[in-house]
Amino acid sequence: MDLGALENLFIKSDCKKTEPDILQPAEPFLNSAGESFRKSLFITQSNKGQTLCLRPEFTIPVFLSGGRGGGARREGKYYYSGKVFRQSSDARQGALQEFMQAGVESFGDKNEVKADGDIISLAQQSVKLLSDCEPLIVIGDPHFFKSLVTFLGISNTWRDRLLRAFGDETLIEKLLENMLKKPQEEPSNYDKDDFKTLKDKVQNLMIAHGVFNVGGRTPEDIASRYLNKRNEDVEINSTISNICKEFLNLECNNNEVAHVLESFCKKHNVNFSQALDRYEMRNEYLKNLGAPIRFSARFGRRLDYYSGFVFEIYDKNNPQNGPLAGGGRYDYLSEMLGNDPLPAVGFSLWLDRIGKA
Amino acid sequence: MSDKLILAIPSKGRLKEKTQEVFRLAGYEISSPFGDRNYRGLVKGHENIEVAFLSASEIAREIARGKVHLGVTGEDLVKENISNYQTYICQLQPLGFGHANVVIALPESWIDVLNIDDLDDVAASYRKKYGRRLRIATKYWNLTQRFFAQHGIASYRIVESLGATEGAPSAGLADAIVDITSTGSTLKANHLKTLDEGIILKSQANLFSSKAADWSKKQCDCAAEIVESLSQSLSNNSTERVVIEAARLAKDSFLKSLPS
Repeated sequence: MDLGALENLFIKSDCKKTEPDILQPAEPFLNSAGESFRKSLFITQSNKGQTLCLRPEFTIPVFLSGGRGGGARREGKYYYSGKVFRQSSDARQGALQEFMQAGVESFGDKNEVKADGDIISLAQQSVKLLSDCEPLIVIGDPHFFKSLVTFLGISNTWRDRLLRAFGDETLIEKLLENMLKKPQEEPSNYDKDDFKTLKDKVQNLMIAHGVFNVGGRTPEDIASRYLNKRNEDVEINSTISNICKEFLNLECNNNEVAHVLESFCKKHNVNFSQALDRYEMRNEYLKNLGAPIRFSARFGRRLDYYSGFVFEIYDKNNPQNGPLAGGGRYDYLSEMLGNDPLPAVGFSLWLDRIGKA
Repeated sequence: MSDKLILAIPSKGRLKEKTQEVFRLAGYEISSPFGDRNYRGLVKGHENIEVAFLSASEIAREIARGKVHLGVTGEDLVKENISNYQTYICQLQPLGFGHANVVIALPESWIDVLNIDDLDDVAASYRKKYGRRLRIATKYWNLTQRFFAQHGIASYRIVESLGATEGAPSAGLADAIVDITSTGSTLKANHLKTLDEGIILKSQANLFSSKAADWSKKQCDCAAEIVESLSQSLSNNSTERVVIEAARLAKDSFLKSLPS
């Protein structure tokens, strides 16, 4: 595989080289991806007691190699290549745990749809450069589902649950079923209380139980969530759940997206116009890509720092081998790591897979 | 190499007494001829069995390593501490004692949280409201992670707690806990409540066999005999359905677990 040619492509596209350490603090990964990511990490400890890990991916290390603080200093496009390390959940002997990756992260580009388009285009050029396969690009965009559940008037609680589950088909299917079950209302001591009474009661409970600790859940938070739950008129019928299911099954070629989504809107009296405008603006930058693009309504990534569109590139003739490249927009990462907001988009290439494609 | 079958049983407390009782009823009188402080024992009339008195968590580990053939320990210890335990360990027979549940418990003052979905909502809102993730104190890292993953809860952090876990919320070290409880009274005393669907594992003492140990023909026969006598005695003396049902299958699953 000609990694030199790949490097030239990245340099030609105005990317600067970055070489993050293999050994990384574990905290940023756990903090941004959540506890469930821990079992994928190779974790070790420094003799100063800091928890470290072998880098499981590049996005966070590349971001952190820009130092603390945010803003202008970090802006620009960066490329990397090297190994990433993940514990395999596959119990079989010899399951791969070291993977070669290369990729690009773009920080601070304010013309977001153009930055999105550039990143997809660069990812697809990289795949073409390194293999003879016919690439197939798949794009997902969580904004459509977000508009849909808002328009359907689903209660806040269920709307948030659905949005959190977006990207995980099994989980979202389960939720769409559970949503229809009538909640079991147990009579409680608090049924008639208003906010003030409820808040005081919770506060007194906390004081009596000695759990009034600093930084824990506040009585206000508990009381208001209790009331929200009580006041939500949970009248979710199967029509709503079926519309969601129908939407999540939508799949089409990229040039039919506007048509398909508009007829879906007409049929169910919902509106995607804002999300669709943005989607179409991004498409302007994908016109001359020379590779087929599919849109998948249910495709998303369940990571808190992903904020917008996501994409993957497959070998068109062997999609079952898994994605050769993956990427997307993650505008929330910067703040999540304690810095100023910074728009960010990037992709990674799975070089081991590309080598076999 | 010794051709004796090595049977590991808990070295102290109620678990030891109960284990000895269950074995005695099945015709295996376990004695400590080398003194109470010695960690080797014998079974009267069965010279081919050597008893190792070990701590319950060591037993789980030694079965997985193949250093002992049969062992009695808690399900929670096997499922928590041995990754891919099915590869190394065969769970043969619940013994009808040592009952305890691994549960999620959280402050009683969280009156808005009644089930797992509620907890998921609260966990997801933590970062925005409090600038950090929900913290769960536990020594059961693996059970907790597996259970939360099953329920789609991703937004939380585990705080390791090796003792007095039930005190973690009021000490401000964590927001909720995952811990083992037999009666629930410790939780109640600390003003913690459990949730609908919040039981992670219903555990009890079990007889396990090792798939990792070397098994000679003699050792197999000896173990099969123990399993059979134990199952028979348990199904006669127990009222618990799981125990009786398992007894029917115990010898079969033991024989199947052996390398062919």
